[in-house]
Amino acid sequence: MGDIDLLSGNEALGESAIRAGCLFFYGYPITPQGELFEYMARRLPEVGGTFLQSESEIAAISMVYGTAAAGKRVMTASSGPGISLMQEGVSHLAAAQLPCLIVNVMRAGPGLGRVRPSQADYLQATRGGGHGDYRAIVLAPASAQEMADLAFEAFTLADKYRNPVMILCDGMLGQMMEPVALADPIDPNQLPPKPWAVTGAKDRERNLVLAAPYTDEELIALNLELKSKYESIEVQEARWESHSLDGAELVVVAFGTSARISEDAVLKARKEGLKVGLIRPITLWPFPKQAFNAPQKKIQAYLVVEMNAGQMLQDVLLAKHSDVPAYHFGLGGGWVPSTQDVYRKLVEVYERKCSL
Amino acid sequence: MTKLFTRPSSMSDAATPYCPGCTHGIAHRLVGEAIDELGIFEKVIGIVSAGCSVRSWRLYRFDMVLTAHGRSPAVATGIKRALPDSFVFAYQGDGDSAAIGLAELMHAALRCEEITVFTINNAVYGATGGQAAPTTLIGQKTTSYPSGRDPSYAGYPINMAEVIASVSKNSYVARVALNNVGNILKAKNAVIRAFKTQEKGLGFSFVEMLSACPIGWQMAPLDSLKWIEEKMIQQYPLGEFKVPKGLEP
Amino acid sequence: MTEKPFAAVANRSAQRWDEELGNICVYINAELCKACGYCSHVCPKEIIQLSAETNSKGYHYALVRDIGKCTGCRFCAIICPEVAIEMEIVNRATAQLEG
Repeated sequence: MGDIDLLSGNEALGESAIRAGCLFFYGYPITPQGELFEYMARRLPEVGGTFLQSESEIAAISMVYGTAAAGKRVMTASSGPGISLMQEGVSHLAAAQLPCLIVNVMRAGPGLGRVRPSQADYLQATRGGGHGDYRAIVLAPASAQEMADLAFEAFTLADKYRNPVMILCDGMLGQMMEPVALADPIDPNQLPPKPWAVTGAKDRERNLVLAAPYTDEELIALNLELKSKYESIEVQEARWESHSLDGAELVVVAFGTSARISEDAVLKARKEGLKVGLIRPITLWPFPKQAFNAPQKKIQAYLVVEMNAGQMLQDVLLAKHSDVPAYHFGLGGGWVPSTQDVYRKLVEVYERKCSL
Repeated sequence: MTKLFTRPSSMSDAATPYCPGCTHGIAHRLVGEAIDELGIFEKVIGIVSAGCSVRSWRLYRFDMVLTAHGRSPAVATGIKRALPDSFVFAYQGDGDSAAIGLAELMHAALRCEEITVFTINNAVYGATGGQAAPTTLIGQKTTSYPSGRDPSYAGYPINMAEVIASVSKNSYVARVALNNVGNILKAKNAVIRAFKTQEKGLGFSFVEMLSACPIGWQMAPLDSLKWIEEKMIQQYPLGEFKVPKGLEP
Repeated sequence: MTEKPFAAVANRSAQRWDEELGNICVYINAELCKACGYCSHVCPKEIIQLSAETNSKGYHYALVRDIGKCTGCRFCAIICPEVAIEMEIVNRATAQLEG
């Protein structure tokens, strides 16, 4: 690999994960995760890693649980229906406080759905996804470069907080080819040790990796510990990108592929003198409420653009100032807006709410 | 002073969490004895999951993992692939192995994962109050089928050892019983041979252990030992169903 | 009759000591016993019975009566699901069974 390469998002993510010292991938094939899956199948043996196709997503997330318990960086990838199957495992990973990366290459649903892009797994991802009170850190790349960067960082975050991390992307991001600068590889043996891992009780007290503690009191204590951990993540790890917020009267809020499409619509509108800005959350959990904090007296409306019927909208409603209305443009099921569609909606809202 | 019989040193002092007469405790002890005798304490990682054995991690002094119901063979795969020099065993019940986790067990066996799986077959779901298991016998009463298992309605029991032996090319597969001293000593031998299979890298190892559940069967403990002898062994014959090449007889 | 010092065995709670015949000592940890009756059932000499007393959990724990007949076969220890039975020979010189 040279300094900058033309890579697909999937390749960028896969290669980046390996460079982050992740040498274990377990997964079950499902479109549109196939290319990431196949990249790992081809590449991991080349670097002495382990690629294993599991018999189901349930088995995949359980293998992840085992390798994570053994103290190694590990990942899996799937799409909606498979991610749903994994939720039991993610809840158990969160309870046992095990680090790992789970990639959801979203497809249109609900149910079996169809193989078209979608962003309709937002609520599932950001509200934990499985049973019980837990959260996974959720990252939303919007370019092949971000697929690489966020994959690399996901492992740092997962290890730092001993928590599952999810990357929410879709088939379009996976397949688009863009210039990507990859990080230098990390030697997994040089990573900070994990003294809590189960590796065989040699010269130390034995370790336990438990999906449930022994007593009622300990479970309450675990919940308090998790709550405090999540509060700390909310304060420290929220990330977003924004531009043209100064003086903006309409702010578009979008993530991932929707943000790429909306970006062009926003630029077109600005060229015509409309005071439009953009907030692009990069962490979906923790949702960057901070982006909505700045004194923005001029904002007359938010327009949330997403490929679902109103999921990130909920977080925007919670984060924004109560006086400012939030509008929504989006649908699941494989609906993908064009730049023109977003522009037209943007102008419609602007004409209704903002000064011309 | 000579020791005639002691608690294995790989076991802790914790009391077992089981009902009076439940023979899980014997199985746990046999595993502990085997670990002592093979000298593998520092390499062992054991996995337990939902079911009566959910708290059995307290019975040992080595690294233990508690995971979701049925997933232990997949978790064991994840640990053994990450740490090939470790000694990994999963301890499961019949619901774990033959119902919710059947796919994970079958595929670990198909892949000939170098792990050891112990399945406690007591033909009932003890932890949740006595419901039917895939290994519940025809006519056996459970809370799921209070008038007794009717095959035309609920199908037939599964003989796990035979099934695993038929799909796992490189493996050690045995079925033993814990209902009398002779059978327990044979069970101990099977545990040792299962661990030796893993030690020598000969493939997958699986020991199904017929075990008593007096409370689940609504019997007195001594009657439950008899029930294993008279009813369970008829459906689930004892013996070795597969021995890998390289494991001495 | 020699005395069995508690200190000879570490980390035990509520220990019941059985008499020493010649050399074979059978220790049944009364607190771990759940009175399943298996040891009593398998003892070839029929010298194990359930006590009239109960342990702190209310179980009539097993007790060796007439240790004089014990042959050290270990059947009781082998079948005990609670790992509550341990056995040892204290005086090697006159041991009839070596472990």
